[in-house]
Amino acid sequence: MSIAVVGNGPWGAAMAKVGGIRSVPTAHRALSRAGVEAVIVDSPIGSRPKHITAAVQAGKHVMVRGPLADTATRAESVIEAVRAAGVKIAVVHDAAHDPAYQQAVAQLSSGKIGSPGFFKIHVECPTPKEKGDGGLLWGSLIHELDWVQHHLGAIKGVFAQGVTQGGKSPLEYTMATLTLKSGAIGQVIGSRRPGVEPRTRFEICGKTGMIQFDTGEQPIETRTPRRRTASPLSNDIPRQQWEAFQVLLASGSTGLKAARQSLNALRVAKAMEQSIKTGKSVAVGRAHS
Amino acid sequence: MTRIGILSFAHMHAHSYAACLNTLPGVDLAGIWDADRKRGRAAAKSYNTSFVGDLEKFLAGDLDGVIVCSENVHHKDHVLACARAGLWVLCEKPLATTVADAKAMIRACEKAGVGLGTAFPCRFVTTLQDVKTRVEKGELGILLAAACTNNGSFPGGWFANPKLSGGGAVMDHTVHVADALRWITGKEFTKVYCTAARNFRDDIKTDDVGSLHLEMEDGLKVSHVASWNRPASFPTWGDVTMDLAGTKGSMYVDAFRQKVDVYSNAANSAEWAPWGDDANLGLVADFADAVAHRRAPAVTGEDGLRAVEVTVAAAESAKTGKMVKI
Repeated sequence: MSIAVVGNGPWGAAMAKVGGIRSVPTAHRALSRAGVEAVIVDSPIGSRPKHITAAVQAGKHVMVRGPLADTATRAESVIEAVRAAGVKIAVVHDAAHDPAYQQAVAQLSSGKIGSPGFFKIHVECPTPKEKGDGGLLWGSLIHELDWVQHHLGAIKGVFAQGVTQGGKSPLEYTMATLTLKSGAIGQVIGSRRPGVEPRTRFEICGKTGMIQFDTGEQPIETRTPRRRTASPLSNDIPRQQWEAFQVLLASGSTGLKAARQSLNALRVAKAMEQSIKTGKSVAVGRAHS
Repeated sequence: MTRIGILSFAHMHAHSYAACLNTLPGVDLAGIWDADRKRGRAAAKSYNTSFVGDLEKFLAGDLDGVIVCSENVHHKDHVLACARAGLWVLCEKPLATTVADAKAMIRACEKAGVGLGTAFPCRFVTTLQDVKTRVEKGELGILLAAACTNNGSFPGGWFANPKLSGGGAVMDHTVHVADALRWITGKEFTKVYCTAARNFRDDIKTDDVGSLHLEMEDGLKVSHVASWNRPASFPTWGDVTMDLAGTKGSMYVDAFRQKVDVYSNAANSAEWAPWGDDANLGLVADFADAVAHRRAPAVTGEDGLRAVEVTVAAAESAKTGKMVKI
């Protein structure tokens, strides 16, 4: 199958590398290229709905790094366009394809720690050079929110605080408490600053044990000239994402069910935005979407 | 010789304080009183001192100062009794379970002309002292956000009985970080939001985990986890961590991560063996020096009050679901 990549972000470039395809900077050129049957959309969050809709209306299958849009309403319109076009869509969230998170799911399923009563996920990442991913919440934390609601349970309420600092060394910092329908509570913390090494720490505490993970503890640590860690895998996150898309294309599934499920994380992110703005707790789903 | 007694071994920290008193030169662990006579006698035997079964006699004895380690709700009565006896007091945290009690304790000690200290050993953790110096030097620029934790394993006993403890994990494990942040930043807390739950034990009546969001002066935003969520198999008692983010940079601090890992077949578990400075020794040494020189302890009753204000506001927020102003 011939696949084109729309956009020039690092995720699209990673997909192009895994798939051995050339990325195309404009949606128009990707969609007008002869024989293209599927499109990988890596455009800024603001133009993502427009690009996906154009692609599916041209009969192309779509793979997109979540979220679909910056509001649930726009994302629902995109999903409706996909359904009407009868094509397939894969909404990709990084944490779902992260082997550490996958191992955590396996440990949760084993029952070793009992039902989760508390969790904390702390993500630090460099500010991306490319603008338009929607910022820390929409470009990074959304993936953790998606993972939480898939594997720890539905999120019913949030309280969040946020810091945004402009200038030479801009800092973004978001801290949220999530209350799950199960009664479990958790924190999702994220920060962005130019040049920092990405780091994710998480812990999940149950009645009979707990899970901890820290990307700061990696098998390779270099100090030339700065400390950098590495954890090479034969089946890394981009490759897993690519292979999952190939499986979807070959299957009878449309991907619409998963796309609809991805709206939950979007609603949580929206509730977090509202909580940051109002200083009050917000029920998920009641936030203006 | 500075003669210091310990009033109750209800709080397990009393054991550490007793060991510290026995270590310090020029300081004498001069006696123990405990409402639980069996516990008090056993402690007196362990730490080579005398047990006095009558509180009035204990306080009227040959003492210069007292460390109060009774159950939280008894702190007020015991500190007031020490003040009446003209004794310097170091009170285990939290200073009190209500703001009114904490204020009454401060007033009583002021009136009696005795020093009142609050047991916040974090101020004597060398790691956190270094963090304070770095923040004061401006290494991080202006602080904008802090994400903190004070997790621990379930302490058992009266800690989970609200009639004796006044609250659960939120009360037990918020005060250390609240005080440390005030001390490091020089700012006061202004608002608190708290979500609390009992998610780890079915046999207790208090919360065992809380997630807090706080604001300090100048808009510094803070999150905090106060919990008893560490399982019995966890290699150490818990943690105090801070992720501090400022205009110039960030810093992650795991205050007690000075340790060697121990894997013992005999224990059938992994353990952390700490090698950092003993913060309790610093706390007790400061108190003994304060007693000897008739000065206020480094961590005062006012400091204890400020932390109580935070925990009381957190409890109110957990009940109402609203941000509470301090």
